Amino acid sequence: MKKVKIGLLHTTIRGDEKLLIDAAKRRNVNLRLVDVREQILDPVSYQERFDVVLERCLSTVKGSHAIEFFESMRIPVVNNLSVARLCENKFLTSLTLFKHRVPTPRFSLIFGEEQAKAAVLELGGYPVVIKPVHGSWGRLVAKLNDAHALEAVIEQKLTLGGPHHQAIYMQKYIEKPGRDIRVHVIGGKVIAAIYRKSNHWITNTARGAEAVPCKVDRALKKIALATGKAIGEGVLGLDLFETKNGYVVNEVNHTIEFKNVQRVTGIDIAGTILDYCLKVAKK
Amino acid sequence: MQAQCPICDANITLSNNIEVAEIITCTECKNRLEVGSINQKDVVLKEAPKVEEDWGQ
Repeated sequence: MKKVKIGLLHTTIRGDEKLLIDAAKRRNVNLRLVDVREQILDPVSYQERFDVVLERCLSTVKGSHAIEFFESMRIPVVNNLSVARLCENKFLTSLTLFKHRVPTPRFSLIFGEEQAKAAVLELGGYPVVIKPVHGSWGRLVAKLNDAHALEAVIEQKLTLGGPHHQAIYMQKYIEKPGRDIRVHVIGGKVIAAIYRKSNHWITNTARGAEAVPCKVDRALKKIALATGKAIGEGVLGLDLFETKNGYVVNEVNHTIEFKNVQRVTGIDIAGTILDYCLKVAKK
Repeated sequence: MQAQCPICDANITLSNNIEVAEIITCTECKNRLEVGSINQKDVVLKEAPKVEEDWGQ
């Protein structure tokens, strides 16, 4: 039987990609590592063909363009362009969740200081959180406790930032119990969840939060599946907050870093991702 | 496998399952390095790229 050929698109190789490589060795698949930094994405001359492509680029810009290219070559990509587009832009993610009535913190997008001040009132007052529309690992995310902080940060963003920093995503600050929740939804199924515990209000594991296994209760499963349905089927990493009114979805990630989840839960996330790729290849 | 740090010249021992493009840390100078090429037991390291704004999830 012919082996399914999976192209693993990457930039630098992280521990997550090594888990995928190990999982491929345990399956009857031909996994080809494709460093997108070395590719010439020319539809006329590009020779290599894959049954499915798994996008794992550390760089969102490179990853998105690679997805566009391989989808245009009629090669199925995990995650597909629609999912990637919705996840890489926080405003678009929030709009999609809102449209599908998935509970999410109140949010808005503004372009100037006066509008930012008015938006704070709309969100219920300080503190608020502002984030780059395109961003990750909690970088350039700011919790603003008062108008003085707001004025300073907005002035700096508008003066020092590039054009994409002039779109300011604002979110109501949600008080957390020293943790948030990361849930992995793969192929429309809830696979694993962890708490990310930290004394800091930013709870990314990339910023030092501790990963602890989290039991998926009915409410968590329900909101995770609803989120997966809203964003689209694929390999998703959902960030959720616990509130007194239930769970809310903060963000959805599409090139998930899962090694900590796999380590603390013992669940084979890498294998589940590869099995999903095999399913997509056979469609 | 052995390789030399391109920054401090230290000899670094690498695991047998390293991959091209993998990031490692020099045991001596602690700089982040990227595996540039692997030719049998000949491994070439280069400076890792700086963290960019669009990295990660």
